Amino acid sequence: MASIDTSRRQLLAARLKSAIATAAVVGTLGGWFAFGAQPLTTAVSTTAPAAVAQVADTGAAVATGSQSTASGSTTSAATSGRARRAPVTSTRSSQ
Amino acid sequence: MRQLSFRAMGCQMMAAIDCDDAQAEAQLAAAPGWFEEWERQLSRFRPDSDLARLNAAGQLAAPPALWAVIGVALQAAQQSDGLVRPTLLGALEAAGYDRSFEQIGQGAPSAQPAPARAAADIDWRQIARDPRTRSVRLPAGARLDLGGVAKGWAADQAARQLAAAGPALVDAGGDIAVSGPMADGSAWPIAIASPLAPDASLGTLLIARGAVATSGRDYRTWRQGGAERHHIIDPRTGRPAETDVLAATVVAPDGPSAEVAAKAALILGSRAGLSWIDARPTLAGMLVLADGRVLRSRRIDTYLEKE
Repeated sequence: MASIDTSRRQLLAARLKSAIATAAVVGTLGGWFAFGAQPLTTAVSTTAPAAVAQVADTGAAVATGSQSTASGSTTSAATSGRARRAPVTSTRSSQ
Repeated sequence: MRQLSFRAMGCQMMAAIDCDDAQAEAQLAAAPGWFEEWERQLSRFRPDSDLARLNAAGQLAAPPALWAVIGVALQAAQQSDGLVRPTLLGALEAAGYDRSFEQIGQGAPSAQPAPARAAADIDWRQIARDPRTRSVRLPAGARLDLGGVAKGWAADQAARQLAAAGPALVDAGGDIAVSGPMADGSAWPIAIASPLAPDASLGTLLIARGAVATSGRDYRTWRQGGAERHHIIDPRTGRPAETDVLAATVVAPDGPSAEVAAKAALILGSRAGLSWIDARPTLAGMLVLADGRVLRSRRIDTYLEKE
C-alpha cells in the first residue's frame, strides 16, 4: 500500500510539474501577445541599472523616459523594484 | 505610470500620474482643459483674457484663478523684497517682449512700449484687492504680467487635482510640482537640464514634495537694436537683468516659491543670489554661471541623487 502511494505521489508530482511548465510557457506567450497587440500604449521601464542611469544623467535617457511622448497622447511606463530610475522629466528655463 | 504631454501657456507641458488605471487616464485627459481655462484668465497675450481686461480697465471683479494668482504674485513681491513683482509688464514690453515668444521668433512688429524706468517705478503695494467682491484695482499706469508665478501656481494646482487618481507630477515648461512621493514611496527623479548643452544634465534631483523651478536667460532671448535681450527684468533698473548667472534652479515647498526664488537668485547674481537662497531654510538651489561654473547652495545636496 505504501509503495503504491509513493508511486502515485511521484506520478502526480510529475504531472504537476509538467502542468506548471506548460502554464508558464502559455502565460508568457499570452502576456507577450496581449501587451504587444496594443498599438497606442507604450511600456517604458523607468528603472535602470546604475550603468544605464549614468547615461540618463547625460540627458539621453531623459528623452526616452518622458520627453518622447506624443503631444496629446498618453504613454504607460512600468515601474518596478528599487533600482535607480531614469528621470521623469527635467527642470529648465521656460520652453 | 501614465503621462500626457501638451502645449499651454506658451510652453511644453507634461503631466504624469504614477498609477495605471482608467481613472488616472481620465484625470490626465482633463488637464489640458484646466490649463486652457487658466490661460483664458491669466494670459497677457490674449486680448480677451481677464488679465488683459484688468490691464486695460485698471479694475476688475477677478475670476478665481486670476484672483488667486494676483494674491500669490503680491506675496512673492513681499517675500522677495520686490525683486520679483507683477508690475513689470511695461518694462518687459520696453525690452521688446511685447508679443508672445512665438511671434517674436516670427518677426512680428513690436508695439510702442512705455519707458522701462517708469514701468519699473510703479509701486506694486498700491494694488488694491477686495476679497468680498474679488475686485482688483491697479494704481495709475500699472499693468500686470503674471508669467512665471502663474506657471508655478498652475503646476501646483494641476498636481493637486491629478492626485485624486494617484501620485502626480506636473511639468509646466520647466516649473515642476509633485503631489507627494511616488506610489512606492520614493521621490520623483527630475533631471536638471544644462543651459549650456540642451541634451546634457547637471544631475538628478529627488523630489518627494513641493516643487522645483529653473529661471534662465538661455532660452527666451531676442535682439533689440543690435543688443541681446532676455525676459527677466531687474526692477532696480527696469531693464533685462545684467547678471553672471545663466540659469538658476531652486527647490522649494511650492511652485510659485521655487519660481520666484530662481528668478530672484538670477537677478541678484551668483554671490548675492546664493546667499539669498542659503538664508531661507526651505530653499535649495544650483546656479549655472555664464562662464560654465556650477555653484551649489548649502542644502542642494539633500536633493541631488548620489553619483
